[in-house]
Amino acid sequence: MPHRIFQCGIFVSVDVSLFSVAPHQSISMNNKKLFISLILVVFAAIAQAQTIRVAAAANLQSVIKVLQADFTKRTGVKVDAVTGSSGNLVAQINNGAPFDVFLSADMDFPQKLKRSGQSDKDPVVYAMGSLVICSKENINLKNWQKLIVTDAVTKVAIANPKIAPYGKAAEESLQKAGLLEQVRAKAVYGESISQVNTYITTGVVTVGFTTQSLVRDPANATKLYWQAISPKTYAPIEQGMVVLKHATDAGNTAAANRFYQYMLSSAAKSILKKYGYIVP
Amino acid sequence: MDWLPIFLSLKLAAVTTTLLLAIGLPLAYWLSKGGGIFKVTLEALITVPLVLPPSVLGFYLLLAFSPQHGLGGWLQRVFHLSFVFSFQGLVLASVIYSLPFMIGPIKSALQQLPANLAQASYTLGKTERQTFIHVLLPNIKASVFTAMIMTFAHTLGEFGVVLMIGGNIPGITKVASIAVYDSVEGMDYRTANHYSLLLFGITFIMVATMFIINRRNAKSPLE
Amino acid sequence: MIDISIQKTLKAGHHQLPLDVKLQVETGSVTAIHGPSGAGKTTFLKIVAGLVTPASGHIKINNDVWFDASVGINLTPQERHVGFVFQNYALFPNMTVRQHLGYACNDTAWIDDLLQIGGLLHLQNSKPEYLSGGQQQRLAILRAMSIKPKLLLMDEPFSALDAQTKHEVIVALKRFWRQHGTTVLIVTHYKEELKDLASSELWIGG
Repeated sequence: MPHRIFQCGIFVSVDVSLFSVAPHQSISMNNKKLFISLILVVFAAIAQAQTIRVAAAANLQSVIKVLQADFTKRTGVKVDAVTGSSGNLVAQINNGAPFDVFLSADMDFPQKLKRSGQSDKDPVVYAMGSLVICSKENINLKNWQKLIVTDAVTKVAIANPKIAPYGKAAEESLQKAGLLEQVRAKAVYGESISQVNTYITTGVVTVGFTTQSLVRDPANATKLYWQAISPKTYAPIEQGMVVLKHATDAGNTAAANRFYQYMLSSAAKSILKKYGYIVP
Repeated sequence: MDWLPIFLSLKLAAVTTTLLLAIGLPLAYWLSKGGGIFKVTLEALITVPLVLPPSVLGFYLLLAFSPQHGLGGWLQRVFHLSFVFSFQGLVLASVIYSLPFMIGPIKSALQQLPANLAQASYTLGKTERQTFIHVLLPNIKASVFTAMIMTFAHTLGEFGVVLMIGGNIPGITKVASIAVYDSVEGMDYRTANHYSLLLFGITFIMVATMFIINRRNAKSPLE
Repeated sequence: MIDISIQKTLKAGHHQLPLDVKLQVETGSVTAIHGPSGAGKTTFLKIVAGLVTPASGHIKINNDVWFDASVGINLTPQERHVGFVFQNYALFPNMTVRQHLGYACNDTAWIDDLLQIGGLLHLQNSKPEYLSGGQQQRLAILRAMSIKPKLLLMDEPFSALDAQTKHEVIVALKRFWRQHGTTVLIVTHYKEELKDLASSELWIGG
């Protein structure tokens, strides 16, 4: 009698015929069937607690927690998220780091993963970043272009443009305003957007270029003053995501794809919007 | 290859080692004389950076010298001096971070000298200072040399603290260890390799030299 | 006139050893100090030199008060200007024989004399590690003499010398001491060797 087992996150259905035992069958046959059904129940329990690992770019630090919680509530699948600079994460993934999905801050890094065979599809845009200029001091940032070259601003924090898309966008914006060289003289480079945020919130820099999600994050206790940078002055920060080869290796493909789909759903989009991202 | 980070690293290590020699010799001497709970506490405090995660040290330095308030603010207002995102900030961090490497060997060596060496010098009418310079110091030369090499090499390899308070400014705080990290992050493994090999080579030569010289000095008349 | 009366409790392992010494001798005299091992003879010399501070008592050298616990006077070793010959020589490994003598003395003629007396002229550029035990001990004596001390403290200073050398050294020292009125305290285990030299004895016992 075939035992069909479905694993759909929560549901396990076992062929009912397992439980019918003809009186002429031996006791050991009954025991075998009991044993098998116990194993199936255990598998079901494990499937219910399935976890996927997501690598997320540093700028998603605050919003990823909300997305994680929402996804688990809807699907029962747990998400372990690790944030870091995209470059770092890509290097780790290329060297076998056990992630199932990668949420980048740009399109280039996920493309690199497709080229190196870590992902078999092109990255898809799940959100677009919004660059802001931000300070712990109560200064008027409306005309930040004029302010930033004065002595009132001693240090400016920018994420390292070579490896952080928000840093690149910041420099593009400064270049457009013809201020790049002057600001470079006062620039301090954060290794990732998180480090830039540290510099801003501890007040060691006067202003910093960061993501809108920092100022929208309700968990941030520091009072921050900010101004959105006109999106016309920098190339759109298209944040791409890919499902990774590791998901297949670890048997997490279904769950990983569910998360992938979730990120493109309206539920995720509304959360992202709340944190200042522009959603496609 | 951009040589600037290498020069910066060497400059930082040289400045730090020189400063630590000037601070460390008298301090090690004072600590070697033994004393009450105050000295013991101070020595523990000096040794803490040895086991503290560098990011912790960096974090506290960041807060302590933030130009927005407190000490950092005062220094900024009065002297236009900042210890974050500046070379002097790296020097300060390196001095704190490498102090135990300078003090440790020197204090040990001083304590291993026979007590009557200094006593003989005092009976001959020499002051503590003269005794230290003419009798004690010449007899702990190998340990001083070891301490200098260890301090230099340790500062060359400094990363965590610099990452926190350096700000990665080219020519000012972007030292070789940061440059390696940067290149790896940017997936420029060729540059990362160049910097790494160079750092490894310099450090290895220094440490090997130290071991060779110490081997010859092992026949010290004190043993 | 040397007037010494000191008291101190020494710690020897788990025991406590009371040290109570009274000594009164004329300037220019040679006193042999003897007694059982561990009784405190070396400590007594160090107290006189100012390297160890007693708990109570006084040390008066002629009209100078070097130590007086009751009024809080305690001159440093540097101020006392005593010559000290250590039991284990305490030579400076980094200095040659000549440098030892030149460390606290500028008088080249005197240094040459000392090298002659001690028979170390041919070794004047050698460091202690190249000297024999006897040569090292002689150097220790010469070094203490280099400052022409008024008070000389010697801790078993002839233990490594053979009879002949010892005799020569003692003869030379006696001559110098008579000339300069040096007061000498010598700790020794063999008081017989000093019977021609010492005019008084001090017993420090446990």
